[in-house]
Amino acid sequence: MKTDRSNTEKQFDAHASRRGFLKNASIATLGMILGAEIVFGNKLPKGLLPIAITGDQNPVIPGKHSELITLNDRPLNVETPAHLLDPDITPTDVFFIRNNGLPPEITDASSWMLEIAGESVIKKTSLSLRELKSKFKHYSYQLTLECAGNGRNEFDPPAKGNQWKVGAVGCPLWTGVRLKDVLNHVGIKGDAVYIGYYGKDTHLSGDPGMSPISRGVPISKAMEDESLIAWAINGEDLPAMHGYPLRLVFGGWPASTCGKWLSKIVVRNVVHDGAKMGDYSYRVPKRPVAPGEMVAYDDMKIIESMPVKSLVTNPKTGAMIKKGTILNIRGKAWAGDNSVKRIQVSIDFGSTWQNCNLKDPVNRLAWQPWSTRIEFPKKGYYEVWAKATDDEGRSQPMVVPGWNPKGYLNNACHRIAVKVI
Amino acid sequence: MNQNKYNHDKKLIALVVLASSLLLVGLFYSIYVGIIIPSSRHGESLGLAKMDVQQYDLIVDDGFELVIQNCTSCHSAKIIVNNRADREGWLTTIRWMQQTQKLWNLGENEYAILNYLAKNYGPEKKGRRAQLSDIEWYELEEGN
Ligand code: HEC
Repeated sequence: MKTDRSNTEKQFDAHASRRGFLKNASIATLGMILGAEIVFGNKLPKGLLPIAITGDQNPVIPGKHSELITLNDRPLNVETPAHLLDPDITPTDVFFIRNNGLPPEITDASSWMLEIAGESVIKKTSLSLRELKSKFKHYSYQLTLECAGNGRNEFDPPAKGNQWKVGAVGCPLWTGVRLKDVLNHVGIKGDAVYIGYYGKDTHLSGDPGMSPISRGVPISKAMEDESLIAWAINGEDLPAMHGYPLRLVFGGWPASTCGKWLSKIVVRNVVHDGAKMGDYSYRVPKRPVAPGEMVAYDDMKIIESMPVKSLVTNPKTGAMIKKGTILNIRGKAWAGDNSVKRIQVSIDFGSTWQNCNLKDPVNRLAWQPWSTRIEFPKKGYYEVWAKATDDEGRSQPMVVPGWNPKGYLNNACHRIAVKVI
Repeated sequence: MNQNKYNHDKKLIALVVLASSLLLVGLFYSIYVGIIIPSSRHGESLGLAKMDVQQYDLIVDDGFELVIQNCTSCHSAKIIVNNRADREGWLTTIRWMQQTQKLWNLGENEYAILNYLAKNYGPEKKGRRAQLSDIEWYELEEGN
């Protein structure tokens, strides 16, 4: 007994002292220990140690729930386990993070400016954050943001990029001004077809002349009521990782359109050509292709509205329940620009389906909570599968949908495991 | 009782001191080795104690050192470890990074880096849909 205890404590202490030592060491010393210089070590986000040094599977991210799953710590790419998405309004501390570059360090946003430029604005204009807040009417909407690569980890052959499982999605409450109000105030020409954004994040290479990501949306999406220039999430200032002090929010479209640390919007008379608009980023084949097929660039198109999808958010997968227990099943469903018309669950691997209660969205482009109660017929291993259908009759597939080179748009039905004992 | 606890505490302190000194010696040894043979091929002789090698999350194999040097300055090794591709697939990613993300020309090291990546992070067959895995079972009470 005694030896056991002291062994454990010894391990703990050794670990703790090593961690403590490393935490206090300078980047240069860390580099020495690692036997290699940590290039750009000065650009590591505050409060994080490189995984190479801590060995943590899940580094502590300031302001974030400890159960989030870190896919990459530099740049930060962090997803939410499905059961943490159970609240109807996604709490900020569980909302996923997809950073393409390194966030800027901004402590004082009082001098923050937003520039509106591009060949299709009538007059290039700069607005301060204060002017934005005082000149235009404020709106709050719950808007679903999902990374276009959510579910990428299931594609075969594998698609490169962050290997998102199911949790690169969330639906917090956003507050800001309508992009269209701002564009109308500035005045846009009749030839405008697209808007693009620029933010203050820096490229991973450290090159100040490069933008890590600069995407956008067609003018029609930009002019929708729910398209926001937002400064608040769930009633509070945006946290640094989510774009403080300003970002775009387009519900139902790839979250990569929702530029963070927003400093400039360009109104274009061509499809915006910023970073990650071109090459194969955020594009899918125009026609179905065979798994692994080489697809020519001209056969690819930009992803717009996201497909119908759902999650089981209660119970957490792995529940063991006693025979006779009635299980409360809850989840969320969303369908890009569309709404969800029906949600069904199956506990027999898709042989039979039962309809669930489905709520209307609180506003357009918000996800829809759903629920049902299930009594399992006998003891054994079950999977609960959820399948949503949108208002145009499109349902989620039960297997992984059409393969595409970059692994986007996997909307295969979500599954959780349940044992009845 | 007290005497016992005192002894136990003393043993603990001794163990902690021993563990920390071993750790320090290990650290300095690894730095030392790293300086003496900086170009050797394995992580252990790269200047990393065994434990530290694992902290890279990268498999220690021929080319490991080149991958650390060329592939972990912009992003962490996690993005590599989490991806799978054959040699051609890895080459495509390298070319993409060279054309769009400022990755430098890897010169004659490219061959060894590709060997390393294709061997250690090659594709796995997943099929159209995998079994649910890594389930952590827990008891759920009535009224869940
Ligand atoms: C000069 C900077 C730089 C270096 C050095 C670098 N990369 Fe990258 N790499 C990037 C950027 C930028 C991305 C995009 C990151 C993101 O989107 O989160 C990336 C993404 C990746 C991805 C994901 C690919 C995808 O399609 O999203 C892989 C895999 C990868 N890098 C592997 C490597 C390997 C292997 C090396 C060494 C040969 C390397 N990187 C060196 C900049 C770099």
